[in-house]
Amino acid sequence: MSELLLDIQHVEICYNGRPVVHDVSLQMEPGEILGIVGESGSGKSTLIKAAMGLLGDSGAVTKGDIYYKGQNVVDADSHALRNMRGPAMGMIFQNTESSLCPIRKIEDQLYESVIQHEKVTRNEVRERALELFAHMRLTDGRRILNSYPFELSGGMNQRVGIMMAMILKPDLLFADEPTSALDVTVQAQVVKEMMKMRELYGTGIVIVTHNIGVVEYMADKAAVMHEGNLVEYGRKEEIILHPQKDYTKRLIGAVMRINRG
Amino acid sequence: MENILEVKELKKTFYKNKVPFQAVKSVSFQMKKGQCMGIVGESGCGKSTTAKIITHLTIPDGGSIQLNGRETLSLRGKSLRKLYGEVQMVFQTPQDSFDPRCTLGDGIMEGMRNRGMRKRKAKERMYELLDMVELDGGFASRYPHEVSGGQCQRAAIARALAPNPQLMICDEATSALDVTVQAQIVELLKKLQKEQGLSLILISHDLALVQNLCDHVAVMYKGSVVEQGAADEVIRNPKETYTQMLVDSVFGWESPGRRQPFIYGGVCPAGCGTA
Repeated sequence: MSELLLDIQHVEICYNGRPVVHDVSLQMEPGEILGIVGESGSGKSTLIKAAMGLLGDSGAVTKGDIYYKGQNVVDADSHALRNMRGPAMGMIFQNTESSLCPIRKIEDQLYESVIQHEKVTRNEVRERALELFAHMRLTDGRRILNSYPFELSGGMNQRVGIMMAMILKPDLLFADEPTSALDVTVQAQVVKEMMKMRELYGTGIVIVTHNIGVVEYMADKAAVMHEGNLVEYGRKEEIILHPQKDYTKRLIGAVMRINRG
Repeated sequence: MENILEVKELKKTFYKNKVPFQAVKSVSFQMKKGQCMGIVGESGCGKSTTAKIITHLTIPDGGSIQLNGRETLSLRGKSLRKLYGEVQMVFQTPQDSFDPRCTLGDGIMEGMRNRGMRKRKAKERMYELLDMVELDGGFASRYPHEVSGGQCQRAAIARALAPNPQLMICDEATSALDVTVQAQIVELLKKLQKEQGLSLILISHDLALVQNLCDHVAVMYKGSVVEQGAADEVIRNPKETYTQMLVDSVFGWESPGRRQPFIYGGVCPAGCGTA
């Protein structure tokens, strides 16, 4: 059996001593896409923050363990985590623009993030970025690199986020609501670009979203969370088309679907 | 049935660093009393500008708007003040549209007080409105940051209903909410539309929502209405290429075999009415 890419074992996460995620276990094979759905406050973002070691001072994993390729993330010190974030685990947030520095150009910020992990020249970074943009079928990569975040549209910023996460070729990509702030047409592009990344690099992706349609399109497996509990977990076809639990049925029932002739 | 709203050939150009940008090029539509009308399109297509022009928050460069057969763009003074009560708007993020230092109750009453209503009367009306949007009276004394997004959006709807508007415009009113909360707000809007005979304009990029809630839909692209008609009909059988693409880029799952084509760069290919 191949080594698990991500192994979350009976994890409980507390904020300020109050448990917000209870006994969650999830496993991911390399190159797999896992979709986590649930309402706000269900603990889905908290869970992936824990897997990245980004819980901050007030949050802590109080029970269970999280392994990335057999390496314990929960007990890792800040130095080990620093080396893992980026080359091993990448992350895309809901609003990339707010996670970028507003007064520096994309290229400078990209270069800064890459030299933390690799010995490269500015030109090499630019070349690789342009190559990634070309894979995304964005032809004006040079203009994007030469822009400030506020000069780009929401969809373009989100693609910059994907590019910045992918330039280090991580094996695992966490995407926290990457499409929620975007137009439907742009959503479709961003989703397709994430799929392209898996195709190119075999990246495993954890996508947290409330858009069940996106999970249906992208994911291999789906997990439903409610009030910190994992309600249902399994192959996406089973979860979305034949939900077993009442909560899943209610959640999926609440989604308005488009009816195409 | 009579038309509550008739919009003809609206135009609006914004200038940024003296470079003109035509946000609204040509928008015309009509809606009947008690109807729900959806306006869909991508960001930047002029949906919100159109809404702001109808509520008189933005003055257009040309065109006409008739509310109940009366031209609104030329209104001044008292009759304009009256118009502000007749057309109300609900925005995307309710937390931002309430003063963070005032309770929700005060926020709802403020408009009524400004229109000269007695404090006691306004308070009575405020509780009545909270009841209408299915919020407990206790919410009147809470601050915007103390309630959830869905509850705050209900309060915003209550505030919009205060002057008994004839037309309510919801600009992406459910986009920032969870699907389950979104479903509740949609139910509430349906109920209000039925009970109060309210006419609604729903601005959204959620085609599923528009198909479920609206009678009529206008699809906008780059400042123009490219297609309009009965909501269900337009979404099921889009005539224009652009509408077709918009419908196709929605992720649905009722037909697992179907894989959608994608639009690159939001460019409308030849054949689309406005290309």
